[in-house]
Amino acid sequence: MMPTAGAESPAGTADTLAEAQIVESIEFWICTYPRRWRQARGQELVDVVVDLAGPGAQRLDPRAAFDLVRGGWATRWREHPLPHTWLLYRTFNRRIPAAYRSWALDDIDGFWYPIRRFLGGAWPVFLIPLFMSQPRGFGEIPLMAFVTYALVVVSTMVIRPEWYRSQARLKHVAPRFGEVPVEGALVAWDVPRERVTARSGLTWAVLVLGTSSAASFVAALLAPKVLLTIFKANTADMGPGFGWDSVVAPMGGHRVVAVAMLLVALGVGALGAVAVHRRLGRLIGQRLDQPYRVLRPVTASGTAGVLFSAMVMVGLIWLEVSGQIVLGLSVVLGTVALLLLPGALVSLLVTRRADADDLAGRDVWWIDTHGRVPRVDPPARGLRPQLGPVPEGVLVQAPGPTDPPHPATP
Amino acid sequence: MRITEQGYLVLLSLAEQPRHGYGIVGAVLELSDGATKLGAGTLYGLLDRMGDAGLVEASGEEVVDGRLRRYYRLTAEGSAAVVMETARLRALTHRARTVLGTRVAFAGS
Repeated sequence: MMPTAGAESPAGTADTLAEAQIVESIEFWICTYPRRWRQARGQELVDVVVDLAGPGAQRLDPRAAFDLVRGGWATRWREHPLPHTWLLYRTFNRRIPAAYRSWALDDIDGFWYPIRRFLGGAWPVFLIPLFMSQPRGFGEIPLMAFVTYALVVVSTMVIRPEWYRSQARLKHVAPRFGEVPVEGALVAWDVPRERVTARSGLTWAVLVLGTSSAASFVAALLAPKVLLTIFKANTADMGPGFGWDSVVAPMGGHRVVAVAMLLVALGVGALGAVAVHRRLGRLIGQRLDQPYRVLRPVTASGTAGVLFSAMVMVGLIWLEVSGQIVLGLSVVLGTVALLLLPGALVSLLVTRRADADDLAGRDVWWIDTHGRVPRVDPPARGLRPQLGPVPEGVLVQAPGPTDPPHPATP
Repeated sequence: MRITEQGYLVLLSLAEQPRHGYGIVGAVLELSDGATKLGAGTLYGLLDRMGDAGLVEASGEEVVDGRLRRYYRLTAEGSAAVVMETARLRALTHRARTVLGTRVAFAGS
């Protein structure tokens, strides 16, 4: 019996399900191909593999899967820069030759790029423990050194990763002065400058400042040890003059000093918040139009950065409260946080009350700290596809005198 | 670019007419008398290398039954390369016949 129009036959449904399953399987195996290759030809490859698998096939047979994996890695290997080119690019951030721009774009857009970039440039730092005064093996490197290194490496994933990516794209992917632009190729262009909205930015700022402030009070109240510096006159055999000793001591009366320091910071911050409230009330309505700007909330990596900072702060407090390190750093960080927290809180409340959807966090910072109307943002430099058709004889132009400087300029 | 046996078969399949990926695999299977069944990974590796060498180029695409078909064809360099490779193989076959002499005649009888 022929299937009626609009109703799919059971066999047809089974085939559709089988095809969906095998497409999923193929998409898993072709992940070995470079991203740009998959974007350009992935669909075509999937369709050919589905045809080759035959009707009703639900999974790839091992031979076909191996062939895809091998083909993917061979493609990667073929398109990878030569070792010395790669080394100069990765270690010294030397501009990559034009033949490898597509590879560089994949590299820069890759998830782990911030760590690759950091380790490529900073790997000598990791050798320092090996050259310390006492010879040490890897097994004898202090745990704290490993933890610190790990934190630094992880922080590269959350501290302005998009900014580093955009700079790297401009440097390695954009065509240089004098090249012939090709339609569709990525070229440097003025693009709208991205800013974080005041509400989103301030909400997260208050969260991290509040966490740091509270944590610093906890450390000041509970930490058992403090580092004291004792100044003393030199002994007779050392000649005239003064010296000092640093000793770890119980907190004793120094706890009061630490708490008082934090309370003073809070008080100064509160006074600053009064000024901030006045400045925002006076200037927020005088803000200028921002034609070269797009606003967005804090990104996922920004959120991760905030949570990472809060986590580091809490970890620091734990070390101080458990007596593994002396009280000190948390008081310094807490003082800074308490100076900023009241102003940030007032700014958040004011921007929430005011009709200020077009206000960026940077505008609020500018008003709070400068007491002036924020300036108009200039456009940023970014990449976008070259529009066509490109007239004959046109070359990539040198940057103008008013263009913002960026690494892509020759 | 050194032309392998699989590469030669792909060039031969495109010498007749432009073909899409699945069509090339079928044509190669036929040309090799069933001896060479190209996997998709191998096929696209060959097409990439031949494209870089200027032997083949994409000649258009269409969607058939919801599947993307991109067609490939030989360039002038590709046509010249397949002719030269065929001549080389013919000469090799001639030399092989000369070396093997009567044994080939016997095997062929």
